[in-house]
Amino acid sequence: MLCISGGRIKNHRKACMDRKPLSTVNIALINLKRKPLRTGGLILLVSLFAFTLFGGTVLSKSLENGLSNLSKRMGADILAVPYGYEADVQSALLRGEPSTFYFEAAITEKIAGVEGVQNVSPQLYIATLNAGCCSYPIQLIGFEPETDFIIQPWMSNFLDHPLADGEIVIGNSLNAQVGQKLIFFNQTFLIVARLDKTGMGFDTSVFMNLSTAKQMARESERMKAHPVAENADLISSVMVEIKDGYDVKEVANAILQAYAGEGVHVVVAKNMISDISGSLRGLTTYIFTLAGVLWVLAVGVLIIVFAITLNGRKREFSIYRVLGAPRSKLAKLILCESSLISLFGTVGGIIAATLVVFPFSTYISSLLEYPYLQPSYGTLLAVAVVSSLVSFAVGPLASAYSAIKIGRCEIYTAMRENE
Amino acid sequence: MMFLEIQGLSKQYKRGEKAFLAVGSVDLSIDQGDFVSIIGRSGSGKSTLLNMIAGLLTPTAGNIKLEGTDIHALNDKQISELRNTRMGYIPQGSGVLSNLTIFDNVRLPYYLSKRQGDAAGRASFILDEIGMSSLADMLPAQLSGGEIRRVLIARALMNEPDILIADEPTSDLDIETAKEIMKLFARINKSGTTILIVTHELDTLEFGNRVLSMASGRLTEGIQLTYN
Repeated sequence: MLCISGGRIKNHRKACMDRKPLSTVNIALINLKRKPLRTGGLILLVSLFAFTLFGGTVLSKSLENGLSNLSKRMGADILAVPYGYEADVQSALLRGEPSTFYFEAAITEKIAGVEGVQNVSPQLYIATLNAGCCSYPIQLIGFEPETDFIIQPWMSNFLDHPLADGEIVIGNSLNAQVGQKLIFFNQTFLIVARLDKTGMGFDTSVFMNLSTAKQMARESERMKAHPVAENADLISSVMVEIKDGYDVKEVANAILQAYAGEGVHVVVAKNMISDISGSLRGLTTYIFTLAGVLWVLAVGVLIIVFAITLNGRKREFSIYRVLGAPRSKLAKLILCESSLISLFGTVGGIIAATLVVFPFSTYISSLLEYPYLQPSYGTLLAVAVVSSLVSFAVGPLASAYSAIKIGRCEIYTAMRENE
Repeated sequence: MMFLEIQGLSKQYKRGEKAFLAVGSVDLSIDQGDFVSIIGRSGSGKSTLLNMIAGLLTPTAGNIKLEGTDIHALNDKQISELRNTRMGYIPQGSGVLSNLTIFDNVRLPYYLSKRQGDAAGRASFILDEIGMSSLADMLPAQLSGGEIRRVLIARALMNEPDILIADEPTSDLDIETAKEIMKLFARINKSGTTILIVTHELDTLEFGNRVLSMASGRLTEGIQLTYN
């Protein structure tokens, strides 16, 4: 291609002007482009680290947030359940896993009479089927609106009347709107309220009053035998709130002592939360250890790669020196190449983590089987910024030694080394 | 004041325990516009001398003054700028950057120090002048040895240097191509650029106006009879 030669070939002037200036960044980009395999490998390594760090931190923060939300808004101090179903009530509460277990409704009043008990509210769990009977195969929870102190505080919209028969409240993750109708066991129900995001099993559950729940159980009898259809005086659990000044453990023991013989067992909410908290600590430690190992690995591999390629590129760098590039220019070029690798890797890793963690948060939370609630946008932004900075530091840190060393070689000697 | 003045220039290397004098107390003065050829056998010290003059190798003793400025007394930034703006250096063998196109190789020196102007226009002009403009967008690996040598010359001319320094510019080239390269140097010299080349090929000497011989690190005026 001909360009300007004393103005002789003017039609090529534009083509000449279109060329990008050979700034340090542009040279670094050209160098990276000409070694696609090496560049791609290094970018992938940084991406993997950024993905783990950002994705893992969002995961960990969401679990922390879910747990903190659970402990703040659990409402009940003690959960009374049929003996042998302690784990099931946790599954239903934490993960919305359809569970069915029952004992006599009369136990509610009996527990209310125990010393130290402030409020009691019964709940009835009905699992829908995986058959085509229902809009969702999910946990249906019947509660008593008059005594409830668990479900109603989570409602995102104010309900100006007690929950009537045929009306339902849906969890936040369910894909339906207030005013819409859902079908369960061939019965149509009107959605009158929606819960706030809880991070618990409540997010995927549907709530109704006890009489509606019992009606639903009777309808389900047409497809499969249901204990509630045969005995309308069954409930699944009793949520217990204790009076101020009473010790939860003592009240729980009192309930056990009085009604263990009637098949009642108790779950202390604080213990449940502290068990989850312990497991979460383990998971968080694992996530950050993995991120730490990957960081060290990424920095280590990059140090080795830069040191090796630096030796192979001595002649190339000495040519820059011959042409008049000072040591600082070479250092800038090396740092620029490594920074670009870091930048592309970080952006790629963060985008990949975003595409996995956010759209699949519901699936992840069900997979983890822990309360999972995404933190605020501010916290997410802070996590993204810190993760990006830590990830971005990988390249410049790894190449710093090479950048310093390259300028120390005598140009002529370096130029002859790779001959 | 001479354009280039060298006094008592020496370079000593260590080979194991023994010291080896590659260049021993060389004195040399070059006028602006000279075309100086230094001839000598391989290992005579001529490349070492040339690279010290280009500021690429630090002498053990002596000094090199370019229009009165002792180049080895300059700091890295100053000597780099001097190399970039006043010297055009053509290294031995293939001294091109394999990642860059021919056009980018030629215009690169322009971007290594701060200046304003039309780099692309200048690079195009030079490539056109040496008949290489059709290869501008190619990579060095696609070029022959003779073409690469032309690219190196074009790149050395990019910043309109006062002196062009070439280390064995015709080595590994066939006779015809070597002659073309030397004719190109002669043309450049006619435009006022001082040229200093080292060579071991007698055929190239006819193009210069001054010949020096190098043997065992010592520099003498004219061709030494013992050379052949």
